[in-house]
Amino acid sequence: MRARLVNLNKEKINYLLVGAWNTAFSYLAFAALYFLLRTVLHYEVLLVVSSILSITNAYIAYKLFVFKTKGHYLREYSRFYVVYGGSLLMNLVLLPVFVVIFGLSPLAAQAGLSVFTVVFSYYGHRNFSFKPAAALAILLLLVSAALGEAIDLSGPAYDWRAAGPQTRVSVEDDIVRVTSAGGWAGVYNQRLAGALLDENNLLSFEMKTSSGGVGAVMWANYLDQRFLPQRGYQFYLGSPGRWHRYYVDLSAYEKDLTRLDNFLINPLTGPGEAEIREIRITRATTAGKLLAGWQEFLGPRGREIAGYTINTMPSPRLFGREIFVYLYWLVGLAAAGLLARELWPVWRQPVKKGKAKGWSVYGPAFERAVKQIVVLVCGLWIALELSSLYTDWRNLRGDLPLFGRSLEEKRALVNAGDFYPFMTFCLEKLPAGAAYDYRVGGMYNDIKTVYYLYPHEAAAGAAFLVVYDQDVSPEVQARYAPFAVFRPNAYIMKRVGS
Amino acid sequence: MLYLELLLVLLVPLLAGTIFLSLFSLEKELFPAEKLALSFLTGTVLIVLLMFFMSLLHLPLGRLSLLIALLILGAAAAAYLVRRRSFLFGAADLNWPRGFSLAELILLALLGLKIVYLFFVTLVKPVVDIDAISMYSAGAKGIFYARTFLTPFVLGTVHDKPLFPYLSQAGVAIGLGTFNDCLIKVLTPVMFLCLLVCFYSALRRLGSRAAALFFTFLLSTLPFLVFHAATAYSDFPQTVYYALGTVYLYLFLKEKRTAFLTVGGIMLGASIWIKRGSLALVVLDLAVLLAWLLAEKMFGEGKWKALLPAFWGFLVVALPAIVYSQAGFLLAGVAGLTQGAPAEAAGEGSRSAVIVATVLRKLFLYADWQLLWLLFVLVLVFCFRRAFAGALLYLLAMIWLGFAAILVQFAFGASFQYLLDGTLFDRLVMNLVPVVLFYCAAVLAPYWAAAARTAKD
Repeated sequence: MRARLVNLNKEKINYLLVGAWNTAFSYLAFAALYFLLRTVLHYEVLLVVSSILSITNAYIAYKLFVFKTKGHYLREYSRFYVVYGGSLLMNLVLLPVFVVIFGLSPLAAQAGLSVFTVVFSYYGHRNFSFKPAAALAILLLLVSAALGEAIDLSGPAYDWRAAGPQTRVSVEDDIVRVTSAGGWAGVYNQRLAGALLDENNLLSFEMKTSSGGVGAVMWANYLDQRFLPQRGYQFYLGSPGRWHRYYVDLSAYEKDLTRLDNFLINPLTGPGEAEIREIRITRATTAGKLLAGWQEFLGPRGREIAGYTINTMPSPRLFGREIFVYLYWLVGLAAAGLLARELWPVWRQPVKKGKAKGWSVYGPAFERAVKQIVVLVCGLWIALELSSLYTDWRNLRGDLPLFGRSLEEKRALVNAGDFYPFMTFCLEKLPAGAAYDYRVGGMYNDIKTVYYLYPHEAAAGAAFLVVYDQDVSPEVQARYAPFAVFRPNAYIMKRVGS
Repeated sequence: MLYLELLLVLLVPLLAGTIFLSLFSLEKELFPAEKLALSFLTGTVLIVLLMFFMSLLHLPLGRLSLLIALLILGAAAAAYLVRRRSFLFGAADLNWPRGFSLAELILLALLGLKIVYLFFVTLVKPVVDIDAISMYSAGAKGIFYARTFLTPFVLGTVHDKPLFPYLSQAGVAIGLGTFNDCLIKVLTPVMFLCLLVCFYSALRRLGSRAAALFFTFLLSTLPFLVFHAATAYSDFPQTVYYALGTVYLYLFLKEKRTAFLTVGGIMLGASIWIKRGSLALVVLDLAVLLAWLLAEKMFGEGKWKALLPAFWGFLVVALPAIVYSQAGFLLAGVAGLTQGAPAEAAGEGSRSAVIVATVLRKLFLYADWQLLWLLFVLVLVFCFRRAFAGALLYLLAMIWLGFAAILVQFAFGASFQYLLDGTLFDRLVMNLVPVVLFYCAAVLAPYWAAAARTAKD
């Protein structure tokens, strides 16, 4: 009997572990196919293909590690399609809902649906039915974000303007078109929106950009009309060339929404073009808040190192708060509950004559509770690691273009613009052993110049002057003559008379 | 071909470390994988030492000259080992663990995945981090071309910093015969692997294999640690050497085996080569060791003399660094700690509040360390009967003293601005993070101590 119980527990543990593996494999298979074939096949087709792979994987894993049956391969395999068919159908229906209506990328939408499928599968298997009322409620919840009164900021009436000197903005057919040659590409509404925001707290807009990266929304109020990162929100831009919908739950970041007057949307992280339409402020429903929260959690905060000198990693946020706040509340409440559950029965036990209840009585119960609390914390840690794995995958994807390239190509790719090709040009042109002075623009390019041009060494007033996108004073120019030109504003000069 | 050469370059410190550690009769005390990891870590710092002395002797740092020097020293040591008939590795080390459960296999797979990811993101891109470009890799490039670190350019990038980051990266470039700023970063992911192996091995002595693997997995999930293991900065190497030195010091205090003191001493001595701040941390660890010696009445009964041979490793590695670069710092460092203090005295009350608020926010609300600090607090609060008992008390003392050193630096020195702009605190705390996780695992060990193992099993 005991052996049977042990085996049953082992089976349950294996079931859970294999289930977790199946969920991960299912999503990774879809992600891999999407990454490789998204330009060739529609994501729904990729979902069907990845589902076949996932069901096959699940069948093999359950057969080998959980149920350990022998034979009947075809019969069991076909039954797997019956069991998982329901969740596949639901996935096929809901995925385009999230992608088309709410503008999420297929990967982000499928990640959320993977979690939803696990929950659905559990209840589906337990109850053998899917309650129509619940389905209707979910559907209503999903579509309700699209309903309700909206304030449309897209039109020319709000007088959208460019925030940076190298950015141009125009509004045609209620689409804000942005063209930037670099620098700050943000656009903001000149006409105030303040008093309209009394009860409307969800900002949403559709945007199509010519490049990926990180976008930002900032807002200003009547007390301080500057756009500052502290009053802002960053998000990952969707794949270039396609429309994506973005959500910002303003009430998560601002207590008094009537004070918000202007919004700035920064659609680009470098030169490029962007189109923004359907800029709306609506009353946030539960679905809207969830969508905004989902984008917020999967956003760059907590996934991109803050600062250029790899100093710190802010936490991902949910509804404006660090994710850890929710986790600490969860652990705190759970710890209180677990301690109460274990200690209360001991407290209620009658006291033996002449013996006070001490550690010998409370100790085992206390230790049991502590063990459960530690297991909970470790479980939440693993959940956070799943979030970190998403970050790792993003980093990996960002680094993949470097794979297989030569060292020179990699150096060119990790530096902005044509800075590294200019460095290569300088190495070719500078005579062996020559020292150089430099006037170099761009963030940290002065430090990189010293690094890349070594073994040439930098020295003030040297025989050669390296200039890159930086003004040179007339006094210095008078001492040098042109030596080699890479392009306008990127050249080498040689000291007159040397 | 270049990657094959890279593998050969990595073999050199492994061999050098193996021969060096063989001199200390550690073969029966360490697990096989642990021996490999410690050999690599020790060998890396020995090669740095060799390059240091060769430069001082005006010998060029080239592939051939380094190999000849290593061969001469290695041959002398090997001859001694052959006479003594002892070597770090033996036939017993060929027996690797078997019979992994599904959970253990999954943990190993996840660890393997993290390591593969780390190697990829480290080696696929060139040096991009600014401190590396302005200091460490720039200095390494200067050493590679000039074949010495005694040039104005290199000394200009080094300033008064210890030489490990510069010489180690230059050593890889010299070994490859080309300055490839993707591949010079290979040492940090290898150190990450060594850290995981040694961390696991230390925990394995306290409890079951599954639990040791689990906590090692938790160590591999710390985002800030993993990120730094992919850079050419000095913070991660310092973390590896200091943390392992402290962990082995704890194992010595617990088990009273001099092998652990030897290994701990070598690791702590190596950390002094990496960052200036290591000296303070090492001194604090040695102060705790002194407290233990006093508590165990080692001085009165002369037992401390038996521990002296264990310090040879520490002295061989640490003394050159202390003499060359730290003596000046000791004089400058004290002044640096209190620099600006009189001018700040008026605002000292508000500075303390700012420090406390910033530290708490960074520890508990930032994504650097997942839930490590919550676990630490829970362990201190709920496991109070074990948390302060025996050798764990000394480990906790090392943690708290390390923390105090960080807080003092911010409270009284010119570093306060770096706390406010967020450029320093997390990197300093990183040194203590593996130790804190190890401490939590050690306190929780009774929950899973049933199958603890030593290397002799």
